[in-house]
Amino acid sequence: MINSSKCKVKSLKFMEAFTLLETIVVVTIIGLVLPAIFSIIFIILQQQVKVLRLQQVKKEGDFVMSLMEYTIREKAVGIYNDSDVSDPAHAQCTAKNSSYSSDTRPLYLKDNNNNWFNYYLDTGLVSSNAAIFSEALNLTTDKVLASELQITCNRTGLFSPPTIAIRLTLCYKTSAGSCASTGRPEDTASMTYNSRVKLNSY
Amino acid sequence: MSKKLQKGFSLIEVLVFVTILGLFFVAAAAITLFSLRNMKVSEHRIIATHYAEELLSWMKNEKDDNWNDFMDNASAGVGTYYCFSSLSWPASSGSCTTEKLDSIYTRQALLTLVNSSQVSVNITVNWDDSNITYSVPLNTVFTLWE
Repeated sequence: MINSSKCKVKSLKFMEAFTLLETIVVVTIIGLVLPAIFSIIFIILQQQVKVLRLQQVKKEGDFVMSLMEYTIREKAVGIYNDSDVSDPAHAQCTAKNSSYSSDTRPLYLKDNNNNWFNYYLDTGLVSSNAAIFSEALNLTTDKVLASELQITCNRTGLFSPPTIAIRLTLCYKTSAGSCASTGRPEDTASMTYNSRVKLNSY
Repeated sequence: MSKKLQKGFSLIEVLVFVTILGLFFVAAAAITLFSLRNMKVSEHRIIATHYAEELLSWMKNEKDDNWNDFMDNASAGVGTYYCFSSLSWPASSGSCTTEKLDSIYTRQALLTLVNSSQVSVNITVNWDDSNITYSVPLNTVFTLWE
């Protein structure tokens, strides 16, 4: 039989522990590997954020552009600088070589029921309004910021309908609330759309 | 006595451990590199698709504006290559190596006259990423009446 007190002394003597050197080596290795792993994860997340933001901007931009192009091409029968589209004095781009831009005043379009509709920028959102709407509709979400929407009509000849050029710049709204981001280029995503449509119903 | 009792790992144990650890790190690095490159490619692809679509819609308008002028830019059979760094007809046809969009993308259009009322349009946006050339093609046929 083994004496219990004897055994205790023996086990204490043989108790194993890490030496200082072993601990230092392990801590150093963990200290090197962990930052490396986290920086890799950070880079992957950054890249993913960039792709997602570009996708969002392209999705909303494609939607707005295709909607504007379709309605203007197929539905618009006249271009005016005022919502009173029954008054011919407000009509624009009727004469040869005339042009009118939405820079100074919004551009109103008339549909074949003599109702007006238009597209404009409203505090960074692309909005649409029409005589038959009870209130204006926002076509983009507040995730993106529309910094420029220019609608210009142009008529080159009396025998061809006027064309409307649309220029739209969209960007992802960063945490700063603008298109720019301080020191983090992966946060920004911006796209410019250029399109021209002919008023087929003119 | 105490020296005799000191335990250690055998060479085989250490080798096996180091090999497994090494394989794990190499695999992790490879996966990371692969997914990063993939994401970079998809980022470029989104922008390249935008540029291709932009050119296509511009061409459609050029065609609607004046069919004869548009047709003059195409040639029968082999077709004519144009390099569009901006939305205007380039002065000369040919391949583009110097004119790049965002200094990354080259945007080319090949116009081929199919017959007197049809022009085939092949738009390609190319970019290089670590010695691999990626491309976004967009093909359509423009008809006089449509």
